[in-house]
Amino acid sequence: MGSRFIQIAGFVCVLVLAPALRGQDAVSVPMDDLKKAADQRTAEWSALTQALASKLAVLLPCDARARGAIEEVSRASGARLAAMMRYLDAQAASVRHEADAADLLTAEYQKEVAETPQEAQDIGQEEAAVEGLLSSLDQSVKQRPDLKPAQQALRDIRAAYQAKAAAAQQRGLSVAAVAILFKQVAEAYKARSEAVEQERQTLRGETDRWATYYAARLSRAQTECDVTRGIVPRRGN
Amino acid sequence: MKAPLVVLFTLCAFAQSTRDAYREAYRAWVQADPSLEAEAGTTSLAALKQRAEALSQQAARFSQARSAFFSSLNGASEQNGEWLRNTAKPEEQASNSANDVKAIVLKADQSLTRNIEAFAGDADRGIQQVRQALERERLALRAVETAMDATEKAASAANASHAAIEIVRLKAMDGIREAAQGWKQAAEAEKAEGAQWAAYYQKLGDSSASPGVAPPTNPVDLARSEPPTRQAPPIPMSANKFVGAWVFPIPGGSFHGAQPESVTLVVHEDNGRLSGSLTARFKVPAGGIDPNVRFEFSGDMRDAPNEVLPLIASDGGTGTIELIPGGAINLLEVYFRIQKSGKTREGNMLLLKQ
Repeated sequence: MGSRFIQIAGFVCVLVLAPALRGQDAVSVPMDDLKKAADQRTAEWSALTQALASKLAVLLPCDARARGAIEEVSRASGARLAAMMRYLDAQAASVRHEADAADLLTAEYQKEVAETPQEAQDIGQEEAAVEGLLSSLDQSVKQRPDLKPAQQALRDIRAAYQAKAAAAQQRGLSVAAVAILFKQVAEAYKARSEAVEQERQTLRGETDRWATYYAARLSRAQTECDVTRGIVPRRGN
Repeated sequence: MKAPLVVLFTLCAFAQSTRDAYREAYRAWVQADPSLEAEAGTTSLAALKQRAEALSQQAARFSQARSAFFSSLNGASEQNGEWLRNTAKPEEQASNSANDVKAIVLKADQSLTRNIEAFAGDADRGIQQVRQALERERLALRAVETAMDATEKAASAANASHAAIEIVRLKAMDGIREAAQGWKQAAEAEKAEGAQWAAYYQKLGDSSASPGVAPPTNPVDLARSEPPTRQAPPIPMSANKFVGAWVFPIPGGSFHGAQPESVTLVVHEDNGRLSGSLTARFKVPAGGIDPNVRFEFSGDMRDAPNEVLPLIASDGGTGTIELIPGGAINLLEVYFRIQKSGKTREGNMLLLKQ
């Protein structure tokens, strides 16, 4: 009953996991796209920024196109930073998922480590049982010598138990090492998750500073316009 | 959406990893006919054969169940290793044109400063208003510069955390491979033991076929086979000096040319082929070349003291990397040369094995 359930569970897992694992590749494609988009927005903003001075040089301070040109660069800046943030958001989500997965796998390997003593006990019991069978068979061989080939075969089985126990012990050490390594992987992902989160925070701060800067740039343009239109008195007193 | 899939993946990986099935089979076997060996000398030959055959089937069920259990653990570990392999990502930043942005900001700052200085001595009230607006703008721009520095530092820290993942990820992959190998061998050993039990019961049932004579030979070769031992996939001896994760030690790392701030090199070997990646950050003058270098390389081993392999950089540049064993087993000298658009970039440093 139990083993049948396990077989079915395994089968279902394979069915469900196959598309999920294929989906991992699909996840990496948008990340690349987001990175390219961020680079593209940066290039657009850079081009507009570098062209701004020459655009403004041929416009009068109060020409609406001057303000429009500055606003266009400001929008491009916002688009650039938003694209960078989208990329970081995706990166943060990906790292979080990987940290979660590493956590879960750590727990599973730790469970397997906990099973190790039980496995050693199983082997010990089996060996003791074989010893008992051999003892019984030794007596039977006295009555029926043609059982000697079977007796030898059983001795060979018993002899293999030492290696079997050693191999089980080694497997226990290996799985313990894997549990520790997965824990380290999980911790490294957590550290990365925190680092990416910090990067997002600083980018948010940078976004605010850029917005303040463009507001100041527009304010200066307005002042230049006001001065030329005489709204600001040209002479003191 | 992805988190439940991850959970499912993990649970699936271990779904078949229960010992209940083989323990149940074992109990059934040992409880089926516990007195067979004790009665083997007195029971009729026909009955002995029949009882031995019945127990042989029970023993086979047990061996199959335990072998399947180890195989499922092996399969789960291979899947987990695959997951680890798939999580490898190239080190990236949101934008690789950060230096261009800095240059633009610097130029704007210089322009503002020039204008502010030009208007400094003008008493015209309108000009003073413009100058004050320029000063406010410059203040805002400098706040941008400060914020950009903070973002750059955070990005650098994120990259360092990426390198840290790479180191433990590769170690975990090695560990998983070793564990999977152990389980695979255990599954094979169980099958071999199953064959031993089948041979034993065969002999027990056929004892009348060799009356009074105990053949000296051991017909079950598997019983004399080498005990299962853990064995990592063989790596050519010459590859040992290159394979692994290597970093640039700070402080005190040796280099020639551009000074590295960080270097992470990962080298794999598979069937005589070396492959890997290098991620580095160099100290460069502000506004100069990109401080980051990232590339991947691969090529067949020549079995020479040094290995020279072709590389492809993340920016599309191409070149070679030379791996030169250091004076000690944990040291590796690296020299790379990347060419792109007629420009050449080189790096040479001594790395320490992780």
